[in-house]
Amino acid sequence: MKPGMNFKKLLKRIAQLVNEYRDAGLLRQSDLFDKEWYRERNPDVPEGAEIRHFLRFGGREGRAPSEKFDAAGYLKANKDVAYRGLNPLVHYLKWGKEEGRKVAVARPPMRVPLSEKRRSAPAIDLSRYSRNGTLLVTEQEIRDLELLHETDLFDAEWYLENYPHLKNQDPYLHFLRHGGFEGLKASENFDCEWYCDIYPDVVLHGVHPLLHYLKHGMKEGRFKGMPPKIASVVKRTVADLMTLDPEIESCHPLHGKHLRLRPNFSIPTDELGAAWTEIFHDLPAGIRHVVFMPWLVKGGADLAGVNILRAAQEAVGVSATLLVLTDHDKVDAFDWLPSGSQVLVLSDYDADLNQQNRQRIVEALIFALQPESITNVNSLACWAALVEKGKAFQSICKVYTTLFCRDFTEDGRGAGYADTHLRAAIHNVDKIYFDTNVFLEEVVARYGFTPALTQKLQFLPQPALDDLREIAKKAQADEQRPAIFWAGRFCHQKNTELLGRIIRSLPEVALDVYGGGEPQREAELAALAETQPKLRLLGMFASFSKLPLERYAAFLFTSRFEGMPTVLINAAAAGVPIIASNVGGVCELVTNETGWLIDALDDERAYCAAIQEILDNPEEVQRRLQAMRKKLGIERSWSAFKAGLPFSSMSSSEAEHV
Amino acid sequence: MSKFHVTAIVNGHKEGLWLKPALDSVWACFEVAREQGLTTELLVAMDRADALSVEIVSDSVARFPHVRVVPMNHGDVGHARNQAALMAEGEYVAFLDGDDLWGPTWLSDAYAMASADERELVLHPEVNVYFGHDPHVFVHIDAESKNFDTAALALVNYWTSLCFVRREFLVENPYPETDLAAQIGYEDWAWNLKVMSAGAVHKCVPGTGHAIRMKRISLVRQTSSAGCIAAPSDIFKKVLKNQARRPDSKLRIAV
Repeated sequence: MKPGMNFKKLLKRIAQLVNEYRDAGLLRQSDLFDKEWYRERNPDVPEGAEIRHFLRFGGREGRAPSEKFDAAGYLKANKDVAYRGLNPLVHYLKWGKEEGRKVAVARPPMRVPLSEKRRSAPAIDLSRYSRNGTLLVTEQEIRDLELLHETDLFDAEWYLENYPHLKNQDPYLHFLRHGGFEGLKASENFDCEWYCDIYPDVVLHGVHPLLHYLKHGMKEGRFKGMPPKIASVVKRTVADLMTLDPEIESCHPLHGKHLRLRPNFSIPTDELGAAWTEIFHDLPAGIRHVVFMPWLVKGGADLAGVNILRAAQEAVGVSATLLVLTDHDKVDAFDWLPSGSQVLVLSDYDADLNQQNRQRIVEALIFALQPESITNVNSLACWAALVEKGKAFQSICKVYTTLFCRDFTEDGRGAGYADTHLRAAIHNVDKIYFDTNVFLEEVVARYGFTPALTQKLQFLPQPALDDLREIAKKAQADEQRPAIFWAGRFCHQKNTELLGRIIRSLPEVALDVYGGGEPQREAELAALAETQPKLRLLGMFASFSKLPLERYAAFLFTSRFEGMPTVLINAAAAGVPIIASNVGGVCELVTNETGWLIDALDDERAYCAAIQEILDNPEEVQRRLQAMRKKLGIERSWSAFKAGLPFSSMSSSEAEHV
Repeated sequence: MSKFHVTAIVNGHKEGLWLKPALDSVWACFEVAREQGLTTELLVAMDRADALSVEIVSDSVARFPHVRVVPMNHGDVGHARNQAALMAEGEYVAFLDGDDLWGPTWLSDAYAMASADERELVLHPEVNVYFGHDPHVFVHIDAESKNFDTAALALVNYWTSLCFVRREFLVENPYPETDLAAQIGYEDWAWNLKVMSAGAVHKCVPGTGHAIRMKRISLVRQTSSAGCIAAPSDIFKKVLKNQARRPDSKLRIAV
């Protein structure tokens, strides 16, 4: 210790004592301080120490010095006094009175009849805080007491053992109202004096140190100090080694009464550590393939993910696969999953996990599970992990990913993993599956992929669903179907405004429209339906296969841009004639041999001509449907899909048909 | 039969003027160990060391009665430790990086603990005092403490590399290869996992501490910025195999 520092401290202490002496005199002369009254209401204050206690602790804690002065109210009304950590009564007597600041009489704490219902049942036994059926604590105090009961940083037994003069008091209430503010230790693991010394803002704002840590400090990354036993080993190590290396001696945080050091306790206690630990203890053993998806909603990419999971399950067994939903908690399409599928939803463990922590969990899953292979189907967390650590993952497992056509933002800008992540990740990926050749070729051309890199890209047509084939059989047996239908989201991409022009051109043709979306488009279509009796708006649909497909003569598809829309594959599988705009990969399914492909995307006359032909020429319809069935059988069968994936090479002792 | 109770292995590279305090701390440890009746040797593994480091080591080790300074050309701290372990003549080996310091009771306390336990132990100090840039304290966790959980070893390394271990066990379970180009790094983290899988127990020696110098540029930071992970280990799969399903498991199963 430097001599200069000792002297400074001594001077400071003397000044404090002198001030305290003067302030005590002020209180003695004032009828606003009532010694007996104070002691009676504060049984933790020893007899004879009332003034000292009020000056050192009670005032700042908001304890009333008499029934004539509401200290808590004064601090609340005069933020400057509270902020500077001044004693409220001393301030009033010295300056506040002259400044015209108001005082109120002290009120006992709000007492609530026990029978009065709280918003939720308290997690503590309130009977210990009540007398004659009346609660002696406020609602806020009940919430704070619940916190103290919950946390292991407050140890009531330890508290009473170490502060034996409090043995007749409730340790929780004493610590809440007084002990914390007086700098007492909450347990071996939390020292209020240390916390206040390190974080003077807590003192300035008059906040209870442990409650501050629990409510705010922890989230803000503040330290809670270190147990005395650890602190003593640290101090001994520093003392032993500072003579060997002067840099240790000059490292200020290692010295002084309170070690100003960030302690790191091996096992992380942050939100990532907590979520991961819980996840780890839920992980099944023997996982061989993991599919990462952002969520599971009723979309085309989600169906592709489910198909990949199902293919992996057929190869290695359901129990050897794991589906991880990384980015969101949406699971609307959970019923799409094969029975027994194991699904880990990261948001189930902490809905507030940030994107970086979600990525870290993806990395930890691969590191801990060591699967033979993984497939990323649009998971942002997994894409980010592949960019940063994909090379390392390849030492653990085969890495596959999918790519679907880019999305477009409201203002028309393209956005997709092909643009943002593909080029950085491709070196760390074994295979990338595209659902359309058109997009695959576009990516190769746009980014100038070399033949070696292009080898990693594979076209994998999504299969048609078996249950829709049954509809096709039924439809064949039915009579002629006079109406056509449109199904999708009402948005710019789907070009709903074209529907109005088509229905006006063919007012005699019935058009059923399923779906919903942007309110303005909904309103426009509703207005149109009032003037066009053949247009019916039939609302949202749960799934394409649930629509009465057999009723319709054709499916009308008008999108401005797409990849390979699942809805078209479904319509084709259901044996419905298709009239479709020639966008994205649509031409890989719908041609003028298998349906009606419209090149003039926004020209209603082309769509009307196709509708007219379908209604007038049933032989041609049957010819094209037959061609579509053949194409589906070759290109989009389940066996063709499975053959395109690498799972068949994974031997299995428990493979099963899913 | 080993010639010494403990071999102190100091890994030198380009520590220069920081080597002297490290060797001084070894000397202080040897003094305490000698008072406890232990015999010790010093082996300084100079892996692609610079001239200044070589000169400082040469000047600082003369006082040690049993010392070898071994030039190496691995460029890999794990390999250097493995080679040093092969050459060591102590029953136990203890590692020290050339810019860090041991507390004086480290070797004697660790030896007392290891020799009193029949199990294969990998011993660590209770605390590590990080000084210099960003000073902090790293408190090691004992694998037999109630708070221990293997799970987060998939996120972070629980123990530093400055461990105390039986030499033969280390020779049988050497540090794994690192390959920064393949994003495989953290030889100490990987080895900590590997020895757990081999059945060793990581324990802390109560009351002991190391001082670790924090530098703005360190191997750990370089490894981290290269996006590395530790070499994979099967320890997690072993734990999962014996793990019962939690009653309040949040894993969803499709029906």
